[in-house]
Amino acid sequence: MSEHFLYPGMLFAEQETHRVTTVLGSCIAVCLYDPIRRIGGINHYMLPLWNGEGLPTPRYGNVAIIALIERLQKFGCLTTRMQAKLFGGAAMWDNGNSFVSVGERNINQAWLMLERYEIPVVAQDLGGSASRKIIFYSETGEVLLRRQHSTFQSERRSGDEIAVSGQLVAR
Amino acid sequence: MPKMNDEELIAALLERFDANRRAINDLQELTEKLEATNRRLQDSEALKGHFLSNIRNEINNPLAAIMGFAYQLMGGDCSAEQTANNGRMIYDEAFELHFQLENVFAAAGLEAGQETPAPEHIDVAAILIEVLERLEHRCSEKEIELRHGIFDSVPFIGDPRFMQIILRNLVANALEFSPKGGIVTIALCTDDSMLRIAIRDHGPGIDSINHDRVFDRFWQLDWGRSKSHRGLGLGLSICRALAELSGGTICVESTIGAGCMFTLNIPLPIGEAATVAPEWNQLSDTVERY
Repeated sequence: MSEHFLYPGMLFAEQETHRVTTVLGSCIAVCLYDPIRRIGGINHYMLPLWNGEGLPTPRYGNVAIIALIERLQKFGCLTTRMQAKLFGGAAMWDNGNSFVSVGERNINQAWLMLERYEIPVVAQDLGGSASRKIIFYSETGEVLLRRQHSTFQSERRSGDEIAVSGQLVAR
Repeated sequence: MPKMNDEELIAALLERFDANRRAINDLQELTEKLEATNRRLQDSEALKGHFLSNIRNEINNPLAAIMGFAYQLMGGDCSAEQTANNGRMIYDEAFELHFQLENVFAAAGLEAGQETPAPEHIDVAAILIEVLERLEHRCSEKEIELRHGIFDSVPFIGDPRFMQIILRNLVANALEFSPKGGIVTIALCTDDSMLRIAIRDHGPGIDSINHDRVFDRFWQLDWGRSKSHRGLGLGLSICRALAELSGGTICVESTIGAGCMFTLNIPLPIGEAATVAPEWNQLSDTVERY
């Protein structure tokens, strides 16, 4: 089985069997799996919606989820058969204001879009304040998860902080 | 509800009014942010329209020029000087066309999430020198003095392709916007945790209100009918996306009339985060299955 490390802002879906690892703080990973084709894919997004800045990359949930679905469809997967598993969306630090945290907004974005595509969520581990390391098995759709209590060590802090400060602080 | 005396009642009501006021404030701020985002998205759509009409010229014009010069050469009766001249013009036009198309493919790859960072041991100085060599013809054409003072290797861990794309766009921009005979300075340094590259030109500069917009897709300083610079407005948006994928940042310092300095900061990849997990013992009670 080939191995792959999924960076924040990337997505992964291949026909060959893979074991994909990723580390989630306030980011969300949507794992999609078609049990008939036995092919699955995973994304890792940091912000819920593209706001018109820079390039619309899969760093943004609305781009990442559509891109993942389309890539799986190229391999013959159907949204009518797909199942989703959601992970992440932790509150990584106290943002001290009354806005909804970026983790929660990321979670809401996933629910909204999966509902729109009518893809059921069959498993999830969301929220909380600990980061998560997950392993996704693309042939079976299975996910292993380990909670990590040292919140900053495993996630690229600069990327997250920039992402959060760009969205929550008034310019 | 517990019985309250008048004072307690007033205090409770004041607290409620306060909470309502804060909620209304938050809502107003949120609405303003949404409206700003909506405007930004509308601008992005307008810019995309300009991009689509630009791209036709940016591809057709160089191709027409290449065909013209090649046609002359086909005759077989050009002088040596004419042949060299035509060769140089064909190279210039083909180079620019290739550069722009590489940017289009890079942007498309980034938007599709297909640009996976592949960090390895690299020598940033060697990558920069190669970029400068490839852009040398633009330097000499405009008689620009390039100062970099880089003589030793600069080892780092990063994706060499990403580094090459970022540097060629930043240097090409500096050369494009430099006046004839101008000076472009490039500084490169690393420490234990960070790579920093700064590229300075003495061109027209960028107004501070546009410091963020320059990194938007398709955005060009003069994107109207009076477009005077070549290009499709993709370079800086690509640089920012690649820098972010590498966990870093890119920013600009500039004032109108005083040139620009673009600074790229890339951290050393965090070893632990980038490793694929070894097979976990699935019976361990710290591992959960979904």
